[in-house]
Amino acid sequence: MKLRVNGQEHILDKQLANVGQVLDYFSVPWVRAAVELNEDVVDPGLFDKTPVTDGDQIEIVSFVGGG
Amino acid sequence: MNVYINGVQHTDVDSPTIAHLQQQYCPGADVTIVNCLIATDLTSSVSEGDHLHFLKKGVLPEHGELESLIFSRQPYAITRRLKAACVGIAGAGGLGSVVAENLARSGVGKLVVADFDIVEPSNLNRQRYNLAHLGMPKVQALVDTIRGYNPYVSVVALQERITFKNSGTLFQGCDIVAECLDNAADKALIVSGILKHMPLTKIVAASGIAGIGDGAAIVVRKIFNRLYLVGDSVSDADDGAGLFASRVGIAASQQSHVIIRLLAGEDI
Repeated sequence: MKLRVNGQEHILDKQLANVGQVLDYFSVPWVRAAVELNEDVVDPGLFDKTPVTDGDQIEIVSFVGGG
Repeated sequence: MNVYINGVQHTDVDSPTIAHLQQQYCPGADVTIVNCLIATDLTSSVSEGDHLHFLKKGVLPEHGELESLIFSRQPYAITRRLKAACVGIAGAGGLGSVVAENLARSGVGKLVVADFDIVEPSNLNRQRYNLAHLGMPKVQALVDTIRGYNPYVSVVALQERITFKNSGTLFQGCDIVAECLDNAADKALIVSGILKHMPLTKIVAASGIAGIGDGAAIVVRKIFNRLYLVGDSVSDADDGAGLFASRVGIAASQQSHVIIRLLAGEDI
């Protein structure tokens, strides 16, 4: 499947169903992630219930600690 | 002619020199500031709309003049915009206490600061508190320190834990929110919460500020439409690299600087 992730085109070797699976595919821990799907922010409690489809644009920020 | 002297508008000034006005309004002034520059040639004429400040070193100005004098080194057009703004600060630790100080010193009119925690000794290596604040809620200590240098900023102190759900309510009315939390999971939740619940608000977050790595690696990136991310994105406090006043302070200063630029109307 084709996704645009953080501004870059990615051809994935498998079909992913939701945002949670995209995070897993790119090895991003869910609890550290803020995600925008087609410019809409995704509720972190709904990563596995937010479907992705071919051609979607997804922006992922993976936070690290310290403040 | 219309000029401002120590913040007060004077409409009847008849095009005299700086020296003439100094003699009239503040005889014996040690420092003269014209449009945020220290004036060296007092024989220059003033122009329509000029902002002049005269001050005597070591003398506490009259209450009505103090606010204008505090901001006499900033361009008035920017100071006016900052005064009209409201900024939220999520977390009052190493990042938040410095962001709050920079914004309060710059004259942001209203700050809404939320943090559930109290000041303890391990905070003092990087957070802008004193021994006298130990045991005090951080938001209360922050109000106390800000009063010491800018009594003209309105500070709303919320001693509360910030969540995904309450983030929009706590910071209601803020033009911009600074994410200044410590824990990575909290950062992700609160950034998501503010983007979700506050559709017009910009957020300036920090990620990757731990350790003694290169200070210049702490950069600003615009990620989503309304999210600015400060840090090197990788230096994680969870890796045991520690937290230092200098590097955390660079990140906090980058955050507050982005906020000031946005409030001044810069397109970034």
